[in-house]
Amino acid sequence: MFRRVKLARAEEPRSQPISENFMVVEELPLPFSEWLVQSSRYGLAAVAVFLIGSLFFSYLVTAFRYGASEGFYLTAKVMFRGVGEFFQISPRRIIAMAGLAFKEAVRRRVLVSFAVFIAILLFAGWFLDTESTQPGQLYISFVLTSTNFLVLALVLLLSVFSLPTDIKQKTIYTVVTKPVRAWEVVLGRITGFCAIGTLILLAMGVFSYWFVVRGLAHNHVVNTDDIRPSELIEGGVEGATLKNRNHFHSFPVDTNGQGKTDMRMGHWHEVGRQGEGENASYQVGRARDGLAARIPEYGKLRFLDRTGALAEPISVGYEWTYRGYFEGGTLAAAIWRLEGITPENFPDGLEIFWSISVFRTHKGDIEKGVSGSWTLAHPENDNQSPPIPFESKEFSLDSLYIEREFELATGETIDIFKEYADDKGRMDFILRCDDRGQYFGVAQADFYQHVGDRNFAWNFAKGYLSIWIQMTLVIGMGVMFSTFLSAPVALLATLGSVVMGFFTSHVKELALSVFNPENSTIDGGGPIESLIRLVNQMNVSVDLDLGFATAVIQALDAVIMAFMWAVAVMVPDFSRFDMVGYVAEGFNVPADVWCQQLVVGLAYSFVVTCLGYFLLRTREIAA
Amino acid sequence: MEQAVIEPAGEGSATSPEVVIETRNLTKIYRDFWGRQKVHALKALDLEVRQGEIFGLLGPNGSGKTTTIKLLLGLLFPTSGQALVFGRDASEVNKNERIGYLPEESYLYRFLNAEETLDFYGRLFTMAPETRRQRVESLIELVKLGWARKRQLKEYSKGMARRIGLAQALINDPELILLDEPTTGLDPIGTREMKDLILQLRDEGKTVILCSHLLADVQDVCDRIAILYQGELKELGRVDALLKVRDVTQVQASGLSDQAKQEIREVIEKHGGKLQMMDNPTSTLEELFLNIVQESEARPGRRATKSTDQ
Repeated sequence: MFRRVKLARAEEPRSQPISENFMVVEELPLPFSEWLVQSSRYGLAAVAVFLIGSLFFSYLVTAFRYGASEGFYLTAKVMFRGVGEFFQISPRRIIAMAGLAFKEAVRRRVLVSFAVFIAILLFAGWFLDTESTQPGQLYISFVLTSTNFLVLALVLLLSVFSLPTDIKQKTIYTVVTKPVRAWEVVLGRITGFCAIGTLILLAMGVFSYWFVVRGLAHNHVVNTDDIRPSELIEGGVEGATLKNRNHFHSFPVDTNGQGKTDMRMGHWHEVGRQGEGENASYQVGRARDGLAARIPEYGKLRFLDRTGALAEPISVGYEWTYRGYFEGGTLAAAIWRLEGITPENFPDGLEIFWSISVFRTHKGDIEKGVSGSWTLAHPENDNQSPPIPFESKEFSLDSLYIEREFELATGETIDIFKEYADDKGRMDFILRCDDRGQYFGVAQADFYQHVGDRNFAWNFAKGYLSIWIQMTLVIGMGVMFSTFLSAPVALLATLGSVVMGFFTSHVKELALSVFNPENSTIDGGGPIESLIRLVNQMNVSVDLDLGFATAVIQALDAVIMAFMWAVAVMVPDFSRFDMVGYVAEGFNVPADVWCQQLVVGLAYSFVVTCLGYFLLRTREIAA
Repeated sequence: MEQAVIEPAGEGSATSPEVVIETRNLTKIYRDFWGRQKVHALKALDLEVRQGEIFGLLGPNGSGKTTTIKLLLGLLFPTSGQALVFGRDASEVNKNERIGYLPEESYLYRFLNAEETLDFYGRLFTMAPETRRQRVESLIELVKLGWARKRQLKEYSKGMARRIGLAQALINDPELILLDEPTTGLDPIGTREMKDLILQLRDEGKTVILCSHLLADVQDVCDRIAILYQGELKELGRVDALLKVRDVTQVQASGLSDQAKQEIREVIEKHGGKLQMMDNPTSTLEELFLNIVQESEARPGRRATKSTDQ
């Protein structure tokens, strides 16, 4: 039984789209503890494979050089000595080595990079789009991205040149002839460069924060001549601000002289009246919510087909199958079940956000969005709210504020928590498309309940934490490569690993497409085959002529791609560390995400330190 | 030319029973990337150095002196054979607590000043902070760099860098000190001071290994020497024994008249000896230089007048 109730859309500014671009969270992060259990299994297996592989490789090299039995003895000796020396690591020596690396970095004028950063920010105003509808997002992603690349480039250069220079200039002779373990040489370098990187990052962070906050701060002036009686608020007035920073706001003011502007460019202002009657003037406060860190609560998504039965969603033929689609004007629906919907958690009401992709099978009214509706439903009985209609706004986040108590058409007042939530605080949110022949496409992360907000500065710091983790990884890899390679080669190796790290998933897919072309959507084969196709101007979907040459080419490609795949599996996936999206879009970076990143970063740093130790320990410093 | 009669070197000539350094059949072959032999730098070296002696490694450039030192320090790995320091394998790190090393050139961090340098190296040893501070102070005084203690090493002259290099080698009050060409870059005063210091270290019971091609330096301070040539040990023994010319007698006397000299000549002839030389001995240039400097310091402003044959 449907009960018709008056459910009003939230008042301005909350019903305005708050973002031009919504954030795509393809996979919701696993809870940290669950993730830790899963990944530690994978991690331990990886460490075991790595350990056995390295031991076997070391044995092969030493056996080739010194004979089978001597090779075994040497490998075992180095391994046991490595473990023994690990427990002799002295923090005092690491700090001394780190201090040296720090001074060396300062001497090499790394602080110039900070000056470069300041210069970039100073001139940024020339290039940043002043007409952007989301200036907050633009500013934040700009500072985070530029800091990220600048810092990574800086520590890359620092870390790969240090040890080779030390060895080349033989200054290391006076260090390794002291009771310094190779662990301490490697860890000291990593710690020292991390320290200077952290300092620079901190300085850049503080400066960036100031740049963003100051860059977005603005005010508006109200022309009192434009103030007119409000149509919505009895006894109130409404008006508009003058244009500043390429936008203006309209606002209502109630009888008490208080009001809020509408949401423009991701923010709103408070408006206050001073004086009465003819002498009244309106003051606009500072911009609000432009820099937010919203905490979303996601639900579990299921779909109903056109008969109203549980079913898989429809594919509309897009290659990116992230969203599932369902048909409009039928019983088909997408249902999210949220937990924790209790009056204690939300004493005033619910604030929901969503973004929908629309697939039109006919043009319809192109000026208008496709109609849809939300219905609140009890998970265990038939209680359902009347549908709350809305018009789809594609590729933007829409929101709705549902007040806790409202009046039915019959005059009866009901409480949504009592009517639509069960004892466990679960509530279903049903999304329907109301236009026949049109389709809505959604994914689990496309709908969330706004649970609260975190401090933006803290969220901004978390964005910097992800850069810091990337920085330590680059330093670790740079130092590790520089223990056995000359500076330019170490630079190339580290740079290659970092670039590979940003594209690991793509490289893996590419490799699998070469190993197993039938089951892959990527055509064109490996590097040699691609080159031949380029030269011969062959379409990627045309098979090469069968024959011996093709077999050889494909075998070579398989070898190259196997190597690429192995590297892609080993290097850290840098794209995982990207938290710019969260911060710029105004979402709180969940603790699950940054804790996972921190653990991954530490695990990788440990592995590269171990590698660095053995590589340095087994090389002849004076050779 | 007189042929020096060389006393056979024997291990019994060592001054102390405790063996500090021992090499057994120590061999080093430098190879290229492909493992092909490039240089046979050291061929089956057998050595023993005992506590409290000053041991000199002598030889022309490329004879394997520095290679031996590097093998003893674990900077290189032997191709075959063994290098033991304090009875432990040379590649073990713990032995370094008791070792001081001055490389052939002062490979120091040029962006640090003297104090920072010594403090940095001091921190690498297990040493109380107070002890470290005291040792930094006393070593800066010892190498006479108090006036330049705050200057970055890149501003140092070669001699100054050598001094601070020596100071870092002594920061841990080592029992064994390896000095690679210690007097290179030093002026005569510095050279003399270095030699005096080496003798002083020996007197304190420390073992010093010296590697040099400046024969005079080696002769002045070393108790025993090993001569290397093309990676092979050619001679090993006590310096005084190795250099003693057995059938030549040297007498030095002062205040003799011409007549007395003539009588000495006659006595030599009478006993069937052959007088090879009777002359006023010449001083060394080093001694002359040091005397002039000493006198100049005593009487500043005056031209030093040393009686010399014009």
